[in-house]
Amino acid sequence: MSHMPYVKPTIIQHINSLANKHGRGPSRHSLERIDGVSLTELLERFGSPLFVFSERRLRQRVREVRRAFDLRYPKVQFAWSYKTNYLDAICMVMHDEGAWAEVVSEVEYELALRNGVPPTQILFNGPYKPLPALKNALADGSKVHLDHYDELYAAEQIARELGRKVPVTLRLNMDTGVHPRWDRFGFNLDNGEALSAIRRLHAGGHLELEGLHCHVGTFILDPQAYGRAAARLAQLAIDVRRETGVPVRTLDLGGGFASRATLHAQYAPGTDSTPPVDDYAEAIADALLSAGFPPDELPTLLLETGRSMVDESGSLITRVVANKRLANGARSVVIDAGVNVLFTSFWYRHDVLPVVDRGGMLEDTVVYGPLCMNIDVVRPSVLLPPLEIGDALVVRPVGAYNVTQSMQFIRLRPAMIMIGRDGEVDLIRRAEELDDVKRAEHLPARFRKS
Amino acid sequence: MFDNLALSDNGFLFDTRTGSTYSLSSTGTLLLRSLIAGAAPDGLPAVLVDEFELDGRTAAQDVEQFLLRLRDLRLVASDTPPTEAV
Repeated sequence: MSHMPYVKPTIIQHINSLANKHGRGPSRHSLERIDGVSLTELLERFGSPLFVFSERRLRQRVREVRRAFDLRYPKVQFAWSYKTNYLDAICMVMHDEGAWAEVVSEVEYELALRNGVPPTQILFNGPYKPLPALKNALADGSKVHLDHYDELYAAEQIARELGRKVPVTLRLNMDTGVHPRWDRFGFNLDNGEALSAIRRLHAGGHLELEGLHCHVGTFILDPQAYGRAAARLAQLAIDVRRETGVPVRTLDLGGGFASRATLHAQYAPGTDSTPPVDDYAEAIADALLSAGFPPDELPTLLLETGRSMVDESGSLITRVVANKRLANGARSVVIDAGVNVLFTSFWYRHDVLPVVDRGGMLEDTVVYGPLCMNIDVVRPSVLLPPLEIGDALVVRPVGAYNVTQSMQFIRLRPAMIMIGRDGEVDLIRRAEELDDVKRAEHLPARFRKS
Repeated sequence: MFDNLALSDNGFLFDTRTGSTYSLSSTGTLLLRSLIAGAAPDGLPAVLVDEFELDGRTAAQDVEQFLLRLRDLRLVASDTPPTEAV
């Protein structure tokens, strides 16, 4: 009898392809616990798959990001980007850490109010704000970001009805060196549209330009893009002050800082290639502080950071349901969570780690979800040790966008829990039930069986 | 039929006929060495059961998958019957 632990009999052919200076990839490791809580026990208690959020990690990251900016600029206010993750528990942590709310629909506006956010601390963004929602937001003093001329005209009409001048923010887009260029939202600065809109706004006499806003893009790995955007917004604010005599009180640089996730097209993993948040803060603060604002008119910097705050606090725990060899000899595993709850798999190379590492040789593996759809691929290629049916895997980071963009498709969506700062485990969203899906439907009487 | 295979103790396999190289896990090495030494495929699950604290069903399933993999890689003839999982 051998004293060696049993590992599955495996044979892997060496593939001699183009040289890779980084070798074959990360060394094998596993993740048995999050914040000291056993993932195996969590699966036994709540079932699989399971989203796990770490309150400790979330608060740490929020404070890290806030500190990076507070150190460099005296007037900073963060607003939590609701669309990134609007689970109540996540939002409440963000608000408890001092964040306002940034919403992009009347639904999200309502969510923010339900979470106790005062209307004056809600930034209302997005290309479509239904008229009743726009009226409420302007009447209640929310910071409304106008996206286009039709919205500007609607806001003027509302101000007329209110009988007072209403402060608004103009959303702008511009060339910051980021490709593809985000030019579908807001007024274009490069072709003069933004300045025309500002002049029109002042000439109308019903609106007051409180702020300027620009969202550079999403998952921006170049902090200098923010530096360029901040410098141009600041210059415009100074020009507007000179022309109208009214200082611009807020400059909103939007969101889009990269998390430490890894894009499919990225060579090095995000943990190595994502710039530290200090680089973004440095670029923005440098541009604003050197723009030439009078000290008593330094605008407040608003930020709508989403992904960078929450992504790494979320993990998905899932179980292997099958092992399979593909026709070309490649190894694959099927897990019980698919792209319907891991939407970001289409763009990101998530870490996939075994919860328990039982040894054995690593082999390139395709990780499939359980959906009967060809596109249900969680990872096209990842090194994994031999796995048995029922073995648990961790997929991370998945805290951003997967909850809000998940689809009820073929399968019901999983439960979500939060591990508190003291290790307490709370269910923050129960697993979906069939009645949740069918409750909104109505079957015409003629189809009902008596 | 295994004359063209050179298998080291630490699981490095060189196929002198094709020039291909492979890495095997310790148990894979044990099984392939047994085959090279003349063991019948049907006897391989017992090799694992004798060597490790392993139930017969798992051993038979793992051997079956390993032999299928050897066959896919053309390291054993395709008419070598895999053992049946019991």
